[in-house]
Amino acid sequence: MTVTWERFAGNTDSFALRISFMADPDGGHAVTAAESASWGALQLWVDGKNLCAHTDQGESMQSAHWYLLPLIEWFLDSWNPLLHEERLPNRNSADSAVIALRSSRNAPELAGEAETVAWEQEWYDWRGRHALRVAREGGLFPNVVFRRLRDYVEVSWDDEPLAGSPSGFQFASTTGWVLLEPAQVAGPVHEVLAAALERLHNVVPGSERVADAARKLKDLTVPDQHDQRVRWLAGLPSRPAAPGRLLDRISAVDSGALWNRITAALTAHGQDEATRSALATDDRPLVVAGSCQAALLFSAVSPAVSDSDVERLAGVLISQYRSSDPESAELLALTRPEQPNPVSPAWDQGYDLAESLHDELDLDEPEWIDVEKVMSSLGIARLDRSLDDRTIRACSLVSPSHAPTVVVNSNAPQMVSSRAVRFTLAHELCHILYDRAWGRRLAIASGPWAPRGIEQRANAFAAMFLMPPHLLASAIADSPDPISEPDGIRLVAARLRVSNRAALEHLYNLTLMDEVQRDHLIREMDTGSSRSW
Amino acid sequence: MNCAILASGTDRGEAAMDERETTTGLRPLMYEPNPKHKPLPAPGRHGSICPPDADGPALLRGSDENGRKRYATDGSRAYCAQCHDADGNVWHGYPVDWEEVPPSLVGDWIAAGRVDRRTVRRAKRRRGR
Repeated sequence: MTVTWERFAGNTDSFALRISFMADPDGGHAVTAAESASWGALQLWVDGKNLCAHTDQGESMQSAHWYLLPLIEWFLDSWNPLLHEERLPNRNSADSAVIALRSSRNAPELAGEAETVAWEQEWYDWRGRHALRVAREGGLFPNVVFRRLRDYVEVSWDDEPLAGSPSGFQFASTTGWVLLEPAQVAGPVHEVLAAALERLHNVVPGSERVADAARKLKDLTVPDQHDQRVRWLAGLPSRPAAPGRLLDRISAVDSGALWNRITAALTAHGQDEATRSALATDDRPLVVAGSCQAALLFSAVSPAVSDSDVERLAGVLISQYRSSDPESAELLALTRPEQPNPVSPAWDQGYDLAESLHDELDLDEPEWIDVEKVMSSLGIARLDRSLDDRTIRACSLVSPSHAPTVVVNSNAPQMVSSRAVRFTLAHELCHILYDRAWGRRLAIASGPWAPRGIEQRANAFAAMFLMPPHLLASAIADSPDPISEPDGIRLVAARLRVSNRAALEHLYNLTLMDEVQRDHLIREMDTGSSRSW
Repeated sequence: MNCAILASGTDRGEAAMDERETTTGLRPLMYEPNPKHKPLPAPGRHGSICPPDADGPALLRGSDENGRKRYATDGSRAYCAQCHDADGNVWHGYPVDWEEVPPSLVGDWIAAGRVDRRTVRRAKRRRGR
């Protein structure tokens, strides 16, 4: 098939898109003229991989071939959620969107019919905004999902076959995900879409669909896109959830009203500079490259956030505003953004970060790590607030205009234990040191709606930071009972001032016991005493 | 929805017609296959391939409109149809996965006994195997 036109934009090492047009091999049979004119080849390059490369009938193909006008229209219709919406549908079920969609496509087994339809509707709508295959219209496209993840765009993919895939049809890239700067994605896609629409307009000048798409393309750069994009960043639904929704109930308000509540809660304090700072973004013509603190914070809380939690969290954003130099030199020296690594397990990354921090701090603690003292010495403030949402353990906040702060949710059930509080503080320390993005900003609520990858990494960091090998070894050596016995675990945990469960899991992760021993100890400690954990 | 007709090489003029009027127009639904869903064009020239036992015209007759598309089921699989000639109300179709069908429509089909929930669940669970 001869290529009659093509456009490539981007960098194949990070993100690139190529669209080529060719003569429709069936001469426009059973499609519209505009669709036929858009017959061609698609290549999507991510992290050096061509996600459209596949094998078909024993032949290696470098492109997916299909009518590409629906794909162009889908990109334009989905633009803002595609590049700004982070929160997954129904539940935060996996590290990457493609895996989350796979694992949550069925409602829980015992859900009723109304709940099942509501679950599936939310899933279907979310997929419609994020999954490239929504634009396939009968073609065989790779399974690629785009979403926002903090200040990055996550692109994830797998090779799940489609209905009607012939035997032997197989995409070359199996599964993976990468994080990219938003502009790295938005720029090439926009460039290729603009050129393709210009070409289609020349070939089928009377097409209403092409003209409509061209209008949408033009609208992407108008200034009033900003508000919509920030709402997507804040995780505000575009419409109320369907009746019967399981788990997190979203009150039946539109996203505009919810965002207005957030901004009203900020402005109610009468501190204009602090409010502006909480809402400041890094806007590019096509995308919000750097999210504002308010959107970052509220995107990680439950979709059912209460009015009083909105007010309390907004209050923290205002009270922790600083006009200059909010961070100590010591904290700045230790801070470095560490993008989650899709290849390395989150636990390994967290352990590695904790060990390197111990190397840098060179703490002289004989028995246990005083994490509060460490945070205080770095100038990190601790606040205690009672949030209605008991699944949030704590929030972290820092930026060039916000004092580094950890807000402990005193209403979370774990916070009755001082050991759990210590673990939570260490977890938040990880966020403050390594999870900042654009402009050294961070605002995150640690709970079930926070990005799973960085939450798991922060948990591992906390375990290793509070239980470094040298202190663990001396605690084990000083214990009269071996760690194969419940009392041994209790003594080690007490010495290090962590929960029994945290100590046990850490010992298991360090391969100091196997799975059978760990499970046996869990059972013993569950039945042995109500104070065990 | 293509294959029964495609298998016999029937073109648009011989395609089955539906007497029922639709909400999209006054003309009856007409079915015309797209050769790109026929088994099996050369690599790079096809999309989802219709199973050999799919009866395109019958599926179109029993389909439900949703947005710009129509959807149908044979009780175990799902299909989608797209209009490629609005004046003639002419459609072609192809197989889709259950997750591509609007959930409200699946709910209606289950309520009407056209498919059961367990079949849909299992089909979704088996994706990718």
